[in-house]
Amino acid sequence: MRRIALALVLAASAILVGQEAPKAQLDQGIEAFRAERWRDALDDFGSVLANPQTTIEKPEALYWTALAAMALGDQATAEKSIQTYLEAWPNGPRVPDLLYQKGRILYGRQDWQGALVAFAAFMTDAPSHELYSSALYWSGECMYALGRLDDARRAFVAVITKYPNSVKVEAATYRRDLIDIEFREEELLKLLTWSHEESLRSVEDFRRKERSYEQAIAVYQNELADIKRGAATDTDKLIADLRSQVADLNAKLGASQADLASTKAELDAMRSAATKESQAAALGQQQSTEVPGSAVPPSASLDAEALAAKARALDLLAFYLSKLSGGGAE
Amino acid sequence: MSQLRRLIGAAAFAIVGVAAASALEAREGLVKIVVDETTARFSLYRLVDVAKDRYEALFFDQDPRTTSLTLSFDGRQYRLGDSAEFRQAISRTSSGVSIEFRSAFAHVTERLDFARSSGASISDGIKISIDVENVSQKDAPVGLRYLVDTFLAEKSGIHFRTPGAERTTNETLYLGDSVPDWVETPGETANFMIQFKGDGLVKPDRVHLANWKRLNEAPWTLDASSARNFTLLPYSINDSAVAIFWLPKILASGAKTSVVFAMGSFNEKGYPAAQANNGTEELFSKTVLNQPTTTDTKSLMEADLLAVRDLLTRIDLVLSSGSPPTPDEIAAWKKILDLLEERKKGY
Repeated sequence: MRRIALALVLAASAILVGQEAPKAQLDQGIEAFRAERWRDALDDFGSVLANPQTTIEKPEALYWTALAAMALGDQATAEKSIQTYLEAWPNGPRVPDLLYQKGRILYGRQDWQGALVAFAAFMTDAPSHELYSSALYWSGECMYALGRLDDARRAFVAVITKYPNSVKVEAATYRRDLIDIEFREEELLKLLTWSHEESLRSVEDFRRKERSYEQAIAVYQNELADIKRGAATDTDKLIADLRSQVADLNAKLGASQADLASTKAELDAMRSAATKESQAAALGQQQSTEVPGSAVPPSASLDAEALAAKARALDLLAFYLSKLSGGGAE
Repeated sequence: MSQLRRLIGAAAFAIVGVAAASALEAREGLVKIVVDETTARFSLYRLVDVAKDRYEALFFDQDPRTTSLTLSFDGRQYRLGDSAEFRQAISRTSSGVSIEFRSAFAHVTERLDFARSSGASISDGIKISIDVENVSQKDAPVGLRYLVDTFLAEKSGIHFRTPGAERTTNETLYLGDSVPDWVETPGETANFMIQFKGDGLVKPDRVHLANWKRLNEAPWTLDASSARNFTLLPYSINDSAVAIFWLPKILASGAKTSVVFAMGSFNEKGYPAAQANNGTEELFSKTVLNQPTTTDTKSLMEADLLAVRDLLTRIDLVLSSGSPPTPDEIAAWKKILDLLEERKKGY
């Protein structure tokens, strides 16, 4: 009876020792991970997962396996561990972290859409997570790579404005500025295309006009040749008629100019008389109304007063700013 | 061709110089309005540090295009500032800023007037009045939508507070009488509010709180889904906005219609209708007639700094108007300056 009892106690102890083993190995792996001995850590986590006695340690072992594999650059193992965790423990405490890591893996593989979905799931799941701003930044990078510049810019600006202490602020600022430059470049390209099309249209227009001018010149040249070939006698008669008309008109012009000169002389005499009269009248009026010191218009003096008030206000402003910024008075 | 080259050069210069694009700025009290002259969109700021002259944006200001006014005219929607069918003009007024949009069929005037919330002695918000005139030859249904790209309460996850809800985590649509008096987006240093109901305001028909991208990509209204939150997977995460609608109503040819709402620093009692006019009269009232009751020197100096800054704005406005100031106004300025200089001796 005593032997049976002893055997039972030994068996129970063995079970207990066996249950502690995965936990101890997991701790050992975490220790190795912290010491940056990624390979050792991975071996320890692998042993934990391979141990048939492992139960509650399994999700943690998967989580640390993913991290150690990522540190080693073994993305396939990392992704597999993450996927196993997410499927087996969809509400587990490590889900947000693993979603973030999944996003990073997919980003590294240039699966922008998949990474974007993983980062979005992470941000929705853990809005207060310390990696939130980093996830936002990586989302921006994914959208940038997908050519969704407006959306990417908005994500980068959100990192800058909402998380000014994030490690990603500098990178986000650079990306935002880069997008702004790309927008401008795009506009310039549009302008260039437009100007090129415009210049092609101008060239076409020029050629069309050139053709029509050439046709017109040909028509005029034909007409000129016809004239030259036409009756010379008709032309001589026409010239003689025109000369006699010019002589008549010259005679009439001489008579009209003589009339105009005499009329002008009369008008000048009348104007000079009128000017003398008006000057005499104005002198009398000025003597009766002139007041000394009224040369400055009233609006100018009001403006000067306004400027003086502005100067006083500026002095006050400088005083307050100096005082409030701790610079002392005046 | 040389004319074409000059045109292209000017356009290229304009585009390359986007970063230095001109903006009209107007300040009064605690408020600053900055209007982008290219897009005719404005940003609103609140003074958070008087000595350092530091302002904080009350809604998203990194890209002013994200807050927009849309006109629905005869069944078609025009985003003002983007639509090629409208010419725009921006000007400073004695009480704020005026933005005009003109087309062959409608004239829209958006006035941004500085306003004081209930009990405030200086401006801490603005009233937005939008007038629409039907200049077409026929009667047409006319409506307006204002999309405000809020952002202060996104990080905290509160998104919106209303008189009936401490936080809003899902898309919400208010229709008709259910439209709240106001919505607030509480931030870390400044709290922003939009007031819909109150004296002198024109209650909107519909207020939609939703993801910004969802609202922005819809040309007009969109069906609300209370199951949605403020994320639009996977491109837009935790990004909220308010769309305010005055639904289309028939506007006769030649007739005008107006809507008014207010926005600015949060004050549960909102922005009352009756206020002294802005400018010297108001400045005189708050500086000379209602002297501050506090004895704290720093607070007094901050109040005086704001008063002298408003006075400078007023003087500049008068000087640039082309017509001289009136003797009464100059007397008021002198009185204000005498008082401030007298107080200065005690600092």
